[in-house]
Amino acid sequence: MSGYYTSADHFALLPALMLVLFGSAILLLEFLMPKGPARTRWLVGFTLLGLASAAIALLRQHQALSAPGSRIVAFSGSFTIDSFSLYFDWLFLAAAAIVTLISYRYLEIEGEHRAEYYGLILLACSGMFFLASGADLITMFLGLELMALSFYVLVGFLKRERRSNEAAIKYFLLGSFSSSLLAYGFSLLYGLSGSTNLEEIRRAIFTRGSLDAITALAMATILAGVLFKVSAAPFHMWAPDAYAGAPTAVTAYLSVASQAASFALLLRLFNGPLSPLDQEWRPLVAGVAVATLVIGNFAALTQENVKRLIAYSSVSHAGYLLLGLVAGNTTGLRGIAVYLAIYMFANLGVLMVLIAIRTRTSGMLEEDLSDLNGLGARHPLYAAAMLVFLLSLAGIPPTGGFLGKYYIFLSLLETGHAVLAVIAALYVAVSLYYYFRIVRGMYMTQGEPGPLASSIGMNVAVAISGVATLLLGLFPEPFLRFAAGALVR
Amino acid sequence: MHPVTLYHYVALSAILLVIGVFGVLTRRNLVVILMSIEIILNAVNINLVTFSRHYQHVTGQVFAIFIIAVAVAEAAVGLGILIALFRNQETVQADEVNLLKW
Amino acid sequence: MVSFLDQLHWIPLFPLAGAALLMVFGPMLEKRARALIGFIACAAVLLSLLWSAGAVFELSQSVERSFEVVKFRWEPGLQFRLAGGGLAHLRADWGFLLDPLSAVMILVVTGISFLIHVYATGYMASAGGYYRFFGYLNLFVFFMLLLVMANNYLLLFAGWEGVGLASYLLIGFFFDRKAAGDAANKAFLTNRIADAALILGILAIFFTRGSVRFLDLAAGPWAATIALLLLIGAMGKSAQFPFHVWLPDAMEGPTPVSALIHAATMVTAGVYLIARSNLVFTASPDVANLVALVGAISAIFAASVALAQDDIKRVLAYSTISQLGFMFLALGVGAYWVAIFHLFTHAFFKALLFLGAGSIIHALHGEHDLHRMGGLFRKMPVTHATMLIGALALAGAPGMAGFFSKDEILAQLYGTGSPALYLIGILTSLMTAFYMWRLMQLAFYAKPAHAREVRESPLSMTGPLVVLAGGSVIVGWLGLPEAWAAGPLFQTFQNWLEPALGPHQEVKAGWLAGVAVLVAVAGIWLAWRFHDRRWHGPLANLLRNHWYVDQLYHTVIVRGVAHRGGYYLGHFDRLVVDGGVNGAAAFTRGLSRLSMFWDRWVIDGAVRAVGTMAKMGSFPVRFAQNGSVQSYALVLIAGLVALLWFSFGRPV
Repeated sequence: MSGYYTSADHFALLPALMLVLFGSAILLLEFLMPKGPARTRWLVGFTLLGLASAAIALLRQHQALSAPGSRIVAFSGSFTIDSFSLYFDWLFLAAAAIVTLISYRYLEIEGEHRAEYYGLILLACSGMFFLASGADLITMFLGLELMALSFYVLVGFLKRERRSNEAAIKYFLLGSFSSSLLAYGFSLLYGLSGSTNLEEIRRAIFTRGSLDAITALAMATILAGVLFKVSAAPFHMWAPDAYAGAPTAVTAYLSVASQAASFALLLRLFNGPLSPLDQEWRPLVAGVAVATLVIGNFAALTQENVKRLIAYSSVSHAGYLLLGLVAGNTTGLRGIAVYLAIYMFANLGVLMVLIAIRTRTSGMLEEDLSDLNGLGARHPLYAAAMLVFLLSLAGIPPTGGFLGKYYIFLSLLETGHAVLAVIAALYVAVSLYYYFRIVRGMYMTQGEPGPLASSIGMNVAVAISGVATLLLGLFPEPFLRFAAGALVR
Repeated sequence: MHPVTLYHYVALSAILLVIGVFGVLTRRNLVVILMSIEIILNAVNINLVTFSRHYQHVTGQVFAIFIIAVAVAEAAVGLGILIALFRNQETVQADEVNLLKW
Repeated sequence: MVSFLDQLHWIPLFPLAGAALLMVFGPMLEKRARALIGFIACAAVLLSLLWSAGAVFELSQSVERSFEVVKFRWEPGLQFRLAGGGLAHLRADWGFLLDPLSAVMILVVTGISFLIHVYATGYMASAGGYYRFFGYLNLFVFFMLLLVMANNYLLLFAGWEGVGLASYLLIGFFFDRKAAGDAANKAFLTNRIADAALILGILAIFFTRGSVRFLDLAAGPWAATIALLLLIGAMGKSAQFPFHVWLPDAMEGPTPVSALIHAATMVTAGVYLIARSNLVFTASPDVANLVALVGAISAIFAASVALAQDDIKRVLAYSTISQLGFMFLALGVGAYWVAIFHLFTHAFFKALLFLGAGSIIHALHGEHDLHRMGGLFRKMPVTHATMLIGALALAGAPGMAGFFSKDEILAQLYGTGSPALYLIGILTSLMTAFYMWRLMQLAFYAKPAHAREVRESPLSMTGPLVVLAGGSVIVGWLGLPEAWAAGPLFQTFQNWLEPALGPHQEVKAGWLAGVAVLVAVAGIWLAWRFHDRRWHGPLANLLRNHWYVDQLYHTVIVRGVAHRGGYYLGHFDRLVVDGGVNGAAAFTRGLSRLSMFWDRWVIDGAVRAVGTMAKMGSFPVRFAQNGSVQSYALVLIAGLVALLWFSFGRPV
């Protein structure tokens, strides 16, 4: 226990610190910003500046960690920077930047364009940084709550919209309920080991040996809490409602960044302190994963609301990701990392196209599947981008989505879970059906011509996501080499 | 008289957990559901402080203080959302909030 | 000098560029320069055809009969542990392979595609969404070429899904028709099941062999599993029983689409896949037998259904399934080159028949019902003449393309398969001749059942018909059995394919050809006889005179033989032949009704049941998702209890 706040601590904390500083500052500085259209530029510019400074700090960490397997441990072992956390941090930053770009026009149309939104985006992002880097129960719980509390507000950001209110209250109640269960599990872990440090807990559980009632209760409550966050069945039920009611830009952020951060938490916990119990939780996770695949895919089949459809599709993606954890070998864990990044761009892409076609003037408030009708003829470039995103979500080569699924399937085969691989492959077939319903609507039906709610930021974001989705499929090597390091050690 | 041991505290915490869960599942008023969640967090706190005393170090207490802070933040955010909901819908009954389904 | 072979990748890129051009500039051209749209689409495919021809020529001149061009390596760096314990990199390049097998395929695909594109400029002249149609059509050609030129299974799969997507878009092209949308969905759903098997098959190939390159494929572990999975995938794409249901419904699409995708090219992808993977099939005789069985069932079943169809395109659709069944039969008995040979000839005459049918439908303003046609014989001379050639080729009339390829399949069945398979083949041939001739009679020779002014189709449509008709006559001569071949030219086909598919086995039984001819003639005669009672009016007389055989029968047999003989012969004719024909007709009607019943209730029912199951499956989910936050919490707690139960509470 030497020193209070060393330079190493500072170095490790800097990216998250930047986000917190900019997130708080934007709330204070809003009063100083000019009114009118210039305000949008200031807000977005300031947010991107915050993300950029976090990125610079992250880049310096990256350089410091160039040696493989090296890590920075800060704050007496409660905060770790390693290649795993760096990988996820980059994902979070990219997601936050893209969400910022697609949000402002949307918020202007909704008449809720306020600085708090950007502050919350940045704060949620810093919470995710703590989740990815946490090496201590307290750090992780605080990171989780920082992220979750920001999201509760973001989901209800359209204060005058009843659906947004309802989504927020549901997400809030269920979210804090599951967090409290998770906290209960954490408290039991602390009781079992006498420490909140993940590594020490792992050792304590390892020496404890067999599973007893307290350990089982701790494991089950933690599983329930984390599986809730990754929206795995039967803990997924908040997701369709929250996704459907939230502002679409927040849905995008929630479905990719929150999902990725929760998987970071999941991986840290289950490959860390709970790894001695893997014989116990592996079949449970396998069962949950299959249930998630079944429920997500079947519920999506008959959805008429696009956002709910995407919500159920995210549920099913959580199922694939969990299968990577079930396999649990290097391929599977790398597969999760690869899958998350690819899924992030594709899902963000789908939702941003939904944002682009949704304008107040055209009166589209329900996000019905038929809103996309005829998009192929009206806005061919957006439709083409949407097609790429959907193909990636469905896992069709040469888009990136295929790669993610491929890694997961292969890891299952490697570890001898052939039955699970077959089930997962079958559900790919099911999922193609509902993704192609969207394609069909875009290209094969006629719709009323409507204006696009596009903006420079939106076009840039669509371009980035589209190119990323294709490049990850076509030239995956550099990216894969980067992702290969994203292993919990 | 039996001495109050570690197990009594853990049992109390477990009972509080069950009460909290029961409250979340059965009460119809959203504010009361929120309070039930706070009860679960208090169960967590009791666990943490008990173990902290058992192990004779402060980590658990620090955790407990953080959880209290989180609970306060949660209450603030939750009540904020609830007020926004009430403004639009004039209800705090859980079963009357079901616009989003299926 | 540019070598076509080194720049192989241009072959699929031309249609892709065409599709991109049409999609971007199409809306602009649609109003001002429709002709340019057709020109771009045709030019893209023509370039690709010329390039293919050049590349194949260069290939034929080189000693090395397999040429690979890798445009860029696609090698996601990580290593995998294989089933055998070794480590391998996944590698699936954007690479193209030109060997004798893919050479045949690209020539078929680009050649037939070009003709059909030209035809479509006439056929779709007045349809809306002209640019979309040609854009999709070009896109289809791109994916099809990707499929047949890929040098590995993964790229093949990309093409495989791509042609599915293009087919889906084109079937539903007339999206204002509900049936078209339903058909598109049905095709899509059916194919998904098969595609899942294909994905698993490819995974299994990589997992056991460490490479998905075609050239690395060898027999080896898991051959039977892999073969079975690939077979299921192939059955879906090639519409083999019981996955065939989507093909007849896919006829809702525009006719050029039916000709291109659902007759000549895409549906043969399954045959190509099996031929390409012939090593694993040869290594697992059980699965090979299954291939033959699937082919046999599909062949005879679809032929029997075709007997009773009234929609001209449906007759042809069932006929396609039946002919694909023939190809599977050939694959199943290990005669891979014969299957490809039949694929080659079939592409010509079936595309011809579809385009001819399209010409009729076009002339009759969308009429599909055979019973409302008739009398087109004189009004559409070119369509008639070309379709007659197509019908004869399909029925297996001597000298035509279909005769040689089908005869070779029958010979192989006789030589290597079981007699039962041969019998099924013969029976199917009989039915084939029957329904083809029935179609011809109802459409062309029967009394007109309509009062429309019918005009021959424009040159853009008849031109391709003539070219295809020429092809339907001559391409069969490239693959003659050794006994008949006057020189190596007549055995081009088997010699060409030898490096890719292994040496060909010759079945020496000359009388087999005689049987095949007899069967074809019998089928045609039966069809003619069956419709004898409708044989009235001047058209019938004209035909009788025109048909020398009939005159001969009358003069030589009925009149030439004494009265009594004639009398008995008349009795014989009336009692035995008519009775037999009527009985056979009743039998076939019953049989096809049975098949239709099976098709409509069992198979359609199964498809519908899957849909219903999806709805029912989603019901509990939707039921639980009732909007109340507390029922969500309840499910959450139930989940927690379940986790606890399965982790600890469960009795050990």
